[in-house]
Amino acid sequence: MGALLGILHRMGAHHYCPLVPAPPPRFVTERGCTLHGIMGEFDTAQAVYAAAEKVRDAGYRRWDVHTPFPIHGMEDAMGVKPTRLPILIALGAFTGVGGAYLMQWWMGAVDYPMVVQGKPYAAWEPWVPIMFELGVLCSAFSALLGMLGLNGLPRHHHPLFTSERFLRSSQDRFFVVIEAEDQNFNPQRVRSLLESSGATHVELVEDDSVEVTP
Amino acid sequence: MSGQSPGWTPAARWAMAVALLGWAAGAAEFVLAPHVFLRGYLAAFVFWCGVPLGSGAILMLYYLVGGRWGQALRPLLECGAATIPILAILFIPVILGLWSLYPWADAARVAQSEALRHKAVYLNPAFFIVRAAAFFLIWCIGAWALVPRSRRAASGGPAPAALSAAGLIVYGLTVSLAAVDWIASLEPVWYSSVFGMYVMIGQALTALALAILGIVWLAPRHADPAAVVGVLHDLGNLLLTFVILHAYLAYVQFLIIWNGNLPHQDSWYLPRSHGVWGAVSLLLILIHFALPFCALLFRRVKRNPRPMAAVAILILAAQAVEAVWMVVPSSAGPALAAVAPAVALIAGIGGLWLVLAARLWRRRPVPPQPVQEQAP
Repeated sequence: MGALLGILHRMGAHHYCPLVPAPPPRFVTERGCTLHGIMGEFDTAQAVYAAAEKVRDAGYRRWDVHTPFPIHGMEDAMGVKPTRLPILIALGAFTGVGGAYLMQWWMGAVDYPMVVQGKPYAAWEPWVPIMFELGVLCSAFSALLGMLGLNGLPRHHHPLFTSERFLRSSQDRFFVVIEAEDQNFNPQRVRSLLESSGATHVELVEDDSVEVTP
Repeated sequence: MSGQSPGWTPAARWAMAVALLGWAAGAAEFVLAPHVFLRGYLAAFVFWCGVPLGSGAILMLYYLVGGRWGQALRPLLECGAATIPILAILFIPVILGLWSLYPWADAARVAQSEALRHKAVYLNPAFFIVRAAAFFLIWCIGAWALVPRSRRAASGGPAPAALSAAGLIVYGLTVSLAAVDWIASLEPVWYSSVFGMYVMIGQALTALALAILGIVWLAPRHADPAAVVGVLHDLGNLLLTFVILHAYLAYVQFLIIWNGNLPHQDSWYLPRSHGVWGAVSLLLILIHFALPFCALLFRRVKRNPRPMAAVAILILAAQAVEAVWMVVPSSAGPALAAVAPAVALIAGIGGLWLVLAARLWRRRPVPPQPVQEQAP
């Protein structure tokens, strides 16, 4: 149960599923709120690119970069691994194709065998279009739902929106946010890493959506 | 390359050697068994039709929909489309061998079959030759109109969108009729309304696969290798689309005929469903659909020149096998004996075509370099 909860927490399920209890806060701010993470602000795309490389090399896993526009090559600078979405889509496709085959075989050859144009009950030839269609349908659904699930969407709120400065990430500022859920998270070290990477401003981001027990 | 004005590049020399070998082997077959030779020759002709016609079609498609994929492909497609006149010359042996190739051109067989007598209004040698001449005339005019306009569009002129729209309609109609005339009428009582579309998508596959090989071959000389990777990814997706569409049309034709189960429609599939040709049918499912489909699902294949070249060669091989499979078994044809001249002449015509295309390639104007994308 604890292991399952751990996996759900790592997927971020507590953010969007009310049935999943939030994990106990690892860090609490002076005001008594759960610490979401530490945010560093940068003035230029070059600066945030270099900072992303330093954060990547420091071994952090739960962190993100927020920029007003896509930065070419940022995936490499952040060390983003290839998505696992294709595996989910392949599973969806195989489910669809296999399910369509079994469904038509069961209906045509087992449950209600009927002679149509003198063809065998289990003639596979007319099943192929349905297998193809259901394969496409199930892969499309697993692509959409898998993408939403891996991204932790939909969620109605994000702690970063409490920061006034963060709003400029859609205008003219670049941000690196390292989350407190990261196993290597240490407030002092994260702060000094961001400052040494050239952040013009570093601030704590509180998670105001989580009730804190005093 | 600019220094050798009258000369031959090593590639062109190799192509010429292959062409001579192929034609010599074909000539030997012709002396031994003209009937067998002609079937093989027709298969080779049908395969190489795909390159100029498919190139023209993809070029026109590009001028209607636009996109990054077409900018890199455009000069190669122009060269491909400009070789259309060579098809008209290569068609002469088919006309000379008409009486041996097509059952409806054989007076003795027409006299025996009521169906052939009814079809003689359309399927007779004189009208067949007139139609073929009209197709070649239309295609040559199309290529002569399209290729210079396309070159001007590359250096800042207006894109020939209206010409491409009209051209694609004419292409669809003429290639459908030509496919029925040249391939389907080998089995004169058989018909399938999707056959023309099926042949067209096959032509697009041949032309696109050859153009991808061209892009991979030219890649080391490209100013920006990263841009080539992006273009290859787009072309891989386009190739995947054509592979799926081709398999879809092939299967739709099969499914409808299988459902109907009528003698005059089954005549296409009966000789191709058992024995050696049955095995070739299964091989085609594998190399024309299953293998390229699975390979092209992977980004790693689409973004790397070597695997993409391998997939393109596989598609070309599958198209060649399919041309032989479409032409040779029809109406109790000369079976496997015709495979040898088909292989010889696919090489022979291919070598000749490559020599011509290489000359056209060197004569083309050098396009302006595209603006590079800025990395931080």
